[in-house]
Amino acid sequence: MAHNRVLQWATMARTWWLFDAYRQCPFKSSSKIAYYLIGKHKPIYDSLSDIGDHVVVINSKYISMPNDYWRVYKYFHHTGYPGGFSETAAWRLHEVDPTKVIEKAVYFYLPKNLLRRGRMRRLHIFPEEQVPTEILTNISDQIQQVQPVPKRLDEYTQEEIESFPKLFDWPEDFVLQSGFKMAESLLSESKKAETGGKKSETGGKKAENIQSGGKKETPKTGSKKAENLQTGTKKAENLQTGSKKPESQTEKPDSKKTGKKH
Amino acid sequence: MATIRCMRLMHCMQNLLLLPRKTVNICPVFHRSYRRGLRRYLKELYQRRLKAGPEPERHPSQLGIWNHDAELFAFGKRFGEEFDENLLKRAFVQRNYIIKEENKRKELGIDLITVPLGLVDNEDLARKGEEIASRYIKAYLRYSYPHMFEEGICAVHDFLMSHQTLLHIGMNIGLRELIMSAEYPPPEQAYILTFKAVIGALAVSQNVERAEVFVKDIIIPQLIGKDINELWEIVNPMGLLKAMLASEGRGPPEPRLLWHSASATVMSLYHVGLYSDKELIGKSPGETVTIAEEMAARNALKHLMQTTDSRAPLTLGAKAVKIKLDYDKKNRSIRDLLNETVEERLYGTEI
Amino acid sequence: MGSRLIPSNFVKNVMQNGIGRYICQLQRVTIEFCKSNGSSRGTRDFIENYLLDFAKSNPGIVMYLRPRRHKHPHLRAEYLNGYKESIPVANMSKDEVAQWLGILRGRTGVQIVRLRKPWHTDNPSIQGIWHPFMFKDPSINSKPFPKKLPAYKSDKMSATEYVLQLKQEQLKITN
Repeated sequence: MAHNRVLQWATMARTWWLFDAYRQCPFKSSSKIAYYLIGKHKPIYDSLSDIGDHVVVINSKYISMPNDYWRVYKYFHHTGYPGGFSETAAWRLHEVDPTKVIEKAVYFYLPKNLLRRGRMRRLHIFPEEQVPTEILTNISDQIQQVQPVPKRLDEYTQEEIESFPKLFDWPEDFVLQSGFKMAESLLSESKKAETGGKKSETGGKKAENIQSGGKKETPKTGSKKAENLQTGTKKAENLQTGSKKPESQTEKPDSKKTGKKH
Repeated sequence: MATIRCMRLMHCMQNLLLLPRKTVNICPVFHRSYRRGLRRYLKELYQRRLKAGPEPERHPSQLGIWNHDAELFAFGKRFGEEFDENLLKRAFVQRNYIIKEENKRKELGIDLITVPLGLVDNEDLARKGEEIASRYIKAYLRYSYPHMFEEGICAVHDFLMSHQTLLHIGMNIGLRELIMSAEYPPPEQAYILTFKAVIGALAVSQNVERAEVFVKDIIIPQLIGKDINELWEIVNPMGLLKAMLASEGRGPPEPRLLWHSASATVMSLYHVGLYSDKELIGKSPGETVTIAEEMAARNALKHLMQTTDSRAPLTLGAKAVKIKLDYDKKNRSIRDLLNETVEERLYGTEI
Repeated sequence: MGSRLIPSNFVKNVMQNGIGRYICQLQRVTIEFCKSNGSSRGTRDFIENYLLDFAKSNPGIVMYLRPRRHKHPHLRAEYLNGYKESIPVANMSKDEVAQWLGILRGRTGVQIVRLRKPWHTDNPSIQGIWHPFMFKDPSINSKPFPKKLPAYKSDKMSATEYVLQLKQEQLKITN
């Protein structure tokens, strides 16, 4: 009797999982987190059995959206009254509450049935690594991340940047698009800074260019883009001093305060 | 409704017409409705019947369809056994039946010395049957579980020979109508005594081996689906485990937490493993660490006694025909084990 | 009418019958019939032709005959656990009556209900029923959470890795 009781207790027990969302895509993470919340990782899974586990998500503040989703991905709301429609961009929501983006991603990913609310109650999200002790003692295992943690440009060492094979280079008289005018001038600046031509040590610049088109930028308009790029260089300069501490991916719209990065 | 009343009235009148003239004519009296009180009357009758209780069960012999000899014969043949008729008859006679019959004869004035009843009760046969069954069950259990402690064997044997088990067997073997008892249906004790007496009767009619096969086929399968470790209550599993390991010269049991989950909640789960000389001897889950540790000790004991859930099934049926049991051999007892370890502690391991 | 309203039960073996020895669960059969009615004709033929063979081959079953005037024939069976069953055999041929008797012989005294599962086992698992920590190493407990897990690796090669691979091949070629 007691033997069977403890065996059943062990089989039907609810485990607590930890998921580190540091620089992970919220949408890919949500599919994995939902998998554990529903209980599909268990061979005793049944849709109505309430067999899901708890998931504790940390570093939700450092979540990274794909492409330019911070700017483009909108959350819609309607109060129910005429003229009550509103849409909020992801970056704004993240500013207000750094746990909401991942929370909504999981909520929208879960099956749309009456079990959804209960499953969401078992999801605990924390913006940083600080988790209350009661919850930390509960945790029994950790979920593997969904993508390799990307490195920012300032996290690459100079040697790495230099040793990386250069795939191509812009011809000297090539005119880039209007949006990249500043880049061209930068190019010339950097060229001026260094002794050699384009082909020397501009791998880093290219990397910067390539990366500036990537996940991390949230430029609002052309002028702001310019400002951002300026801050980008400042960032590069700053990082020469070697600040390795991980920081927020998102660039705030009020980046008129150019000095403020950390 | 009016039409139905009329039809019934007409039917009533027709019946009245059919009655012979000498009877009193019972005319339906027409008040508002001549059947006004009928519903109430029938309800009252129903309540009185319920209050009186159900009809007492009668033996089929009282209902006219009963052939006692044929039933006895069939009883023996059902098991595929040859019983001696008289012995089998004796096996069903209860003492209270004899007493009742004797009292009846006394009341009727029949002298019991000149006209004896000629019935012997089944208590001797029952005693014999119990002895045979008990001895065989213990030997069989010792054969099946050679590493289990004697106390455990006795506990399992007590379960098999318990009131509940034997009653369950007795009630499903068809003894009800055959038992000759003071009352019908017979009391629970009658089933148990009769079943034991049947074993005894078989032993005397044929031989003890056949009775033992009978016991093996009827009583021992009641263990199927039961956990023998649950039948035996071990009060201090950790203490017993320590003594066992000490007697084998192995290291003492060290509990280690293997896994835990949800420790700060009500639904906490801990898996504790017991190690002896850095080797895992048993592990178990539990709601708290204490429970898990205790269950791990029990699990370790199961492994040492080779009575885990994954043990081989009992040898029954055709496979069990060839087994030979040693009736004198006894399994190791906990008392001996404890005495051993105490002596070792007091006098060293040279003894 | 649904399966929840109709009584149902799990498969049961009365007293582990068959594991030790098989005991026929049918205790006695009372054949009620009329000696003259047409509906009992088949039953009467059965009694004349098949009954003795049946009784001889099943010595453990007691057969009673109960003639009842102007009544339809019945087979009333009683089982070892006290269950009673009655089958009306009016207007059946002797073979049909024999068949019904065969059915009664093969049954236990368990009431016929919908079976929830067509099987029963006392040992549902040999290796043990799964629990969340079955295939996990106890070393996951040794360090506190959050832990640094090994970096995520995908099956597909990333662009960066591809470029580095090309570079290495080039170096090899040049060397």
